[in-house]
Formats: sequence, structure tokens, C-alpha cells
Amino acid sequence: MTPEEGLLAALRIAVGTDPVPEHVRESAEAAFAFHIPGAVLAEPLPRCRTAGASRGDPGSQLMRFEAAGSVIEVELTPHGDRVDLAGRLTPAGPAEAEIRTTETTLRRTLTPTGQFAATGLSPGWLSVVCHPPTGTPITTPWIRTRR
Amino acid sequence: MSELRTLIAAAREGDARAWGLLVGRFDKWVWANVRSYGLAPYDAADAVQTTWLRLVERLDSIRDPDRLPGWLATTAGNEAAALRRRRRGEHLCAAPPECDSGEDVVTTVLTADTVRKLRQAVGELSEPCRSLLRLLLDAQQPTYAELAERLGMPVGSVGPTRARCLARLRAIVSGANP
Repeated sequence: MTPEEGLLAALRIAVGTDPVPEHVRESAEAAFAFHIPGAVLAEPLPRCRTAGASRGDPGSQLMRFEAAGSVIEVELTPHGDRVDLAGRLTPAGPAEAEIRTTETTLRRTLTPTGQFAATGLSPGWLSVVCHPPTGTPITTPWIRTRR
Repeated sequence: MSELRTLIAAAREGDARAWGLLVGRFDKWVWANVRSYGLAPYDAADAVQTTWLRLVERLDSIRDPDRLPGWLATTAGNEAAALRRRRRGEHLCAAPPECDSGEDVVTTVLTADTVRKLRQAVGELSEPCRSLLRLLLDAQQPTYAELAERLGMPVGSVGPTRARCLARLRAIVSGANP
């Protein structure tokens, strides 16, 4: 944010000509439902976008996140107005994955190689939370899928 | 312990009421920051939601709660700028903000005293600054071409005039008014 934009933001509040819409306030309050106490936030690794990623689909996005010695890979592939997700946790081990959008949460048991998937997701926001049987959950940041 | 520190500590423990109080305290701040990027209401709502989601995901790792206003402003600005780039067909990866922009009139805006000073400062501006700021704050967010037409000035003069008027306003608020 530039100093000019910051000052204009301050003026907007002071003058009160552009109030916060009610649905925006409600969404902000609802965001708290996504808090996972004690979860470790995985930070993005530098490779943030890969055209034609592991499945070779044009337009797919491959992202990698790391925390506490684990890496979560997330590949998003658009199909029409929906999005498919393929993911992997390394090192692999018994764990559950939650695939969260702002509308729903899907739960998957990871394969022995640490993979998980979901199809037909609504575009918008999603995050993945991996739950090892013992230890701390690891969550990706919220990712914006295309629309 | 500051009030912000108390609210964040309670929210970390799962206190939804504390979260609601945080939202109530800063939702105008986040909205105003996003809208200052010229986003339409639909996109602004998206950027605001992202900002609150970012706070939720980092709630357990906030080191200095008293810097939250600056963090929110920086995050909201980054999300708004990213969305604006997307709408323009650009694709960049932005790292999440790690720090705020420091003490400034902007980061202390939430006090009633600063709001009063800003209102007063606008009243002290001369033309065309007063009219320009009034139009810039319009919820309809006029373009530079529309501003030029309504103010009777060349389009190329709008940007420099805007910068000069905001600098003048900042000087008045900060007490550096010559």
C-alpha cells in the first residue's frame, strides 16, 4: 500500500461515505470457523505456478507448501466451472486430509504414498489440512482457485 | 496486557465473541483499505474475505498484537493489488506480508481523535482539493476521465493534483501545515 492509498482509506472511514456491506461483515465473522487451534501453517515453496504440471493438464496449478519437515503438494486442474484437486503429503504416513472450501469440507484418508484427491470443487477459496495420527495438524494457506 | 493482546489470546483459545470484537473493531479499516485500490464492491468483498482468512490462518503465530492494524492494512492492500492484477490479466505470486508500514497517521486512524482531525483537515483544504477528495471518496469510484470532466481539468492533471492534495492533507493532519 502506498501512503496515498493508506490516507484515502483513512478518509473513507472518517467521512463514512462507503460503509461496509453487511454480507462482508458476516463473511468476516464466519471466517473464524476455519480456525484450527495449534495448527502449523505451511509456507509456500518458491515454485508457485507450473503450467502443464504432473498430470500434464494445460492450465493446472501446482503449489508446494512446507512446515515441520513435511511438504504438502496441491495440484488444481479446472474442469469447466469446477476444479479438481490432487495432493500429496511427504514424507508419506498414515494421516487424514481435510479439503476445505468456504462452502464445504471433504475428508480423505491418505493412500500409502501420501496421496489424496477431490473432484468437482467450487472455484473460490480452498485450503488443505493434514492430520497425522499423532502430532500437530499442518495447514496450507488459503488458495484462490480460478473463476 | 493491551486490549488487542487480550482479544487475540481469547480468539486463539476459540472464543468466537473475541473474534467478533476484532472484526467489529477493524472491519471498516480493512474495507476502506481494499476500496482505496479502486476495486468494485464484488472484488472488494473478495479481497476483504481473504484478509480475514489470512488472519485466521496466522492467528496462532502473531508475535506483536499491537501491530495488527498495520498488518491488516498491508495484507488487505496486497490482496486488493493481487486481485486488481488478476483482473488485468497479470499473474504474479506475492508472498504474504510479514510486517506493517510503521507508525503513521494511517495506522492510527482508528482512534476517534484521528477521525476528527481528518474531517477537520478536509474542511481546511482549498479548491480543487476539497472537491477532488469528495469525488475520490464517492462509493461509485469515478475514473480519472470522469474526475477530469467534473473538475474541469485535463485528465493528465488529475494524478498530480491528487498527489498534491493528499500531501497537503497529510501535512495538515500531522501538524506540519506551513
